[in-house]
Amino acid sequence: MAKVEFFVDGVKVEAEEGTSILEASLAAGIYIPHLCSHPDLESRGGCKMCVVYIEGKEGPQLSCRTNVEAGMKVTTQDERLKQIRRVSMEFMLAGHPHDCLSCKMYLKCELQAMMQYTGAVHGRMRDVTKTTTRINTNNPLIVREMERCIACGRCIRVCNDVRGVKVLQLNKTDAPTYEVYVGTEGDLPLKESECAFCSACVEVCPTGALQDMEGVFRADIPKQQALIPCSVQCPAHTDIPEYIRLVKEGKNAEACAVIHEKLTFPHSLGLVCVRTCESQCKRTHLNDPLSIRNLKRYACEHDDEQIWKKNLKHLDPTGKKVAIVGGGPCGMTAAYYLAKQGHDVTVYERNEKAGGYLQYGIPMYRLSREVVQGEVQDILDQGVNLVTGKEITDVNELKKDYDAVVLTMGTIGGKQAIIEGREIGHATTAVEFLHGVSSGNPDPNVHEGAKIIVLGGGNVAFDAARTSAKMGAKVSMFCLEARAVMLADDEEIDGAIEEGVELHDSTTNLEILGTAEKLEGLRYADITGFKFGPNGLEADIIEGSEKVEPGDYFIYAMGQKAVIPESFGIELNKFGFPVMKEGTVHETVQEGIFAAGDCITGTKSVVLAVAGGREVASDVDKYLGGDGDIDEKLYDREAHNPEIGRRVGFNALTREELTMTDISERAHSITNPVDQGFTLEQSKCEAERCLQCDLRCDFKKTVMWTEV
Amino acid sequence: MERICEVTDEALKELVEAANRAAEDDTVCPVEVAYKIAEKTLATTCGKGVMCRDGFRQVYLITKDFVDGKGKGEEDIDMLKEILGVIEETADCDLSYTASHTILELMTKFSEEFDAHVKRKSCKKLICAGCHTVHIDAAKCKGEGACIKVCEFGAIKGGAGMFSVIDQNKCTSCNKCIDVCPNGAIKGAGAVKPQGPTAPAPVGSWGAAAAGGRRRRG
Repeated sequence: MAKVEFFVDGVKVEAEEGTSILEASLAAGIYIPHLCSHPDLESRGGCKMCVVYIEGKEGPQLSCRTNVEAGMKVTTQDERLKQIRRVSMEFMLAGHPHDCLSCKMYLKCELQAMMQYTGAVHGRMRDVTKTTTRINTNNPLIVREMERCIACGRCIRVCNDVRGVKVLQLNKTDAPTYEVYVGTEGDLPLKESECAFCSACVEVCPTGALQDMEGVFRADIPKQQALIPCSVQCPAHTDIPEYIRLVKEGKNAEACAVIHEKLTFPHSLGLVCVRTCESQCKRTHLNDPLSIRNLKRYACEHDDEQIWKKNLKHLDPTGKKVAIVGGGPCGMTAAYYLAKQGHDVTVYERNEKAGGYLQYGIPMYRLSREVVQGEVQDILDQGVNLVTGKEITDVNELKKDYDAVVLTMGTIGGKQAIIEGREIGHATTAVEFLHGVSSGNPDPNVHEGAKIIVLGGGNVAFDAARTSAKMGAKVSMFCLEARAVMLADDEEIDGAIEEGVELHDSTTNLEILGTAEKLEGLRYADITGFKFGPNGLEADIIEGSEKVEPGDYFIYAMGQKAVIPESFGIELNKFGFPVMKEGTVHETVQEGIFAAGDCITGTKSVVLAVAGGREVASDVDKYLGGDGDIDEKLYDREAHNPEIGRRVGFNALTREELTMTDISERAHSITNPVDQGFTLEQSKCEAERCLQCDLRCDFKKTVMWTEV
Repeated sequence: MERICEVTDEALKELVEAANRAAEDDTVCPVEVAYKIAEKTLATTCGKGVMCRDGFRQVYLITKDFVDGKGKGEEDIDMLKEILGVIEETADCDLSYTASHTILELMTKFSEEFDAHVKRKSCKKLICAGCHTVHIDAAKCKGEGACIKVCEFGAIKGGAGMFSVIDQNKCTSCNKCIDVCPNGAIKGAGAVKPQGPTAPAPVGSWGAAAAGGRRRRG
């Protein structure tokens, strides 16, 4: 576009033709006051802050609405202009609370900044008491403190002109007050007004009139990140709103490319992720969170083109060698990124196959092994060497052949129950049991007709219980928590009960009864509550509720632990975790030996393991002389469409749920999937529900006079 | 300045005409017209611009104080001029321009009237509620009670065959009783108040001797 030169207070400024004097001056670092203008909104000129004189034009002119012309001479500072700005400010302040200190926008408020700039004061004008400030103040997500509103109209313009939702408007009371206020048609609450809760109005409000409800966005991280709570909460910070939008548009391959930017094993995660992202989804405050995991699953199940592979970054060989001990999700992820950074990577896996808990833990009815091995292969395709069936017994011996070693052995040992009588045996841990089933060597004690008692109430306990039940055993589970607050996902609990698992929630285990030859069962009692005191578990037992559950075999699902023998040669703390170098997350105190994933954090989740793998890869790359930058863009994003449009019923759209496989098809099979992925229609309906929190990050920042 | 808004000054037409005849027409008080223009502007504005919405709120509040006899003296006159000057110069629409321009003209042309309202709480034309009082001439009153019926404030006492009396503590000087009196017995008063009875009495009992008495308000 053509450039023109003009003058602001005698300073020559170059600007693009078609820009306003205000815009051009701000871009050149010359401040012209403004309040109702916003860089993303059409200027309306309502506040009069931006008045200037233009040579050859009579009287003050609006710099926000006047485009620059070649040779134009603009005066921004003058006594009369100052007076106009001050009087206009005082008009607005007349109806505004006097006390800035109690406002949450204190020091972030454009009105406050403009008050200082203009020297306006409360008190010269008659105080105006508004009568409309209590209208429509009870809304989800958006807090309206309308006594602070100056009716600049930014929220109305953004809602109508930018978002196209058309909910906000100027309303006016009848005689005798004739009060103009920002409201909705018929003063309906936002939810009934078809508000899309995009919160763009909050974003552009120059005062504290419109605010985000507290607790929706974190206050302890940079705002641009905090505004997308799902991505913040995802340990790998996947660009969730972006891929959900792509799924909505039917661009599954593109969605997968976005997912692959941050995640290895995305399809597996689409099936089994703990989805902490959903716990922070903004829509939870309207009805239910987005079904993010199932949308990811849908995208992965329909990624026919695999375009993510086209743009993968792969740096030239560095000649450095890295060994990774443990081929679970963390180790494989670290291997993947290190290989892409140009290093020569070898993964040592003690089992026959890589994949760790994905391969040997999670039941096949939740996660097909074809999916896992397909994703392992994707990693190997990046040039990762995999040595299976090889247990590393001495890390220092291994280190001799490598520039760096990464320990990602996970937590492979199941914890034993702390319960009287456990020395008589007749028990396994959930980890061992599931490993056996996955390897094709199921524990012979779990069989058709056997009576199995599972102790624990987490997802792993349910994995063990459901698998046992599917193998024909009669299963009863015991856990401390009440049904409503159990750690496992609801769908696991419901599925297990449907499949015949008997759940005894709110119980405490007292004793294992029997002899080394024959198990009798479990003595237990009902409880009203429990806590962990200094002496361990303190359960409030209901008197007289003691019972005995007969059983043939126990499965303990009490958590897992890292198992690193001393002979391994790594310095361990008293909890059995490697000792890390101070100030680092992933470097052990031993030179060139790193660690990540469950073996330093304790048992967490697959997605945390993947995130840990990414982090350690970056650290190791830096250690080996790289820049540690493992980020990549696998999908070239199109500019977001800021228009949402008005859609009746949008804010009330309900969450799509997966269709469960018919009970007859899943009750007796350890491989048949327990549920079916979304249909095309479901994927669109669910993706449509996204509030697109990220669109808010696209707004340009307004400039305050203190910032020029 | 650029007219951003398309709101016209059509709504002010009658009031502007009234303002133009304020010098000759005894039924038009320039201060009251200013107040009514401000009120009409608030009633008509679209509310998008600060000058109409918040500026005229101030003009309305200040001129309302003037007609209510609550003006704060010279400072209010100066403030009002400053405000109107800014609005006139930066008006978004014909409505706020004409309103501010007309009131400013009234303030120049009738500066004494404005002064009298603000400083002495006195309306020469006995129109502004807070700047005059209303009285019944007991000698002329025939006790027909039309005034009692029309008074919204219960400020007039009287009865069958009695002349009526206005309770000045309750009277708001709305002048409605003046218009309905068939005998022309009710009149407004400025600084000089007519002397009269404080309670109703039989018609004709308030003689000519009393009717002549007048005193200046202390």
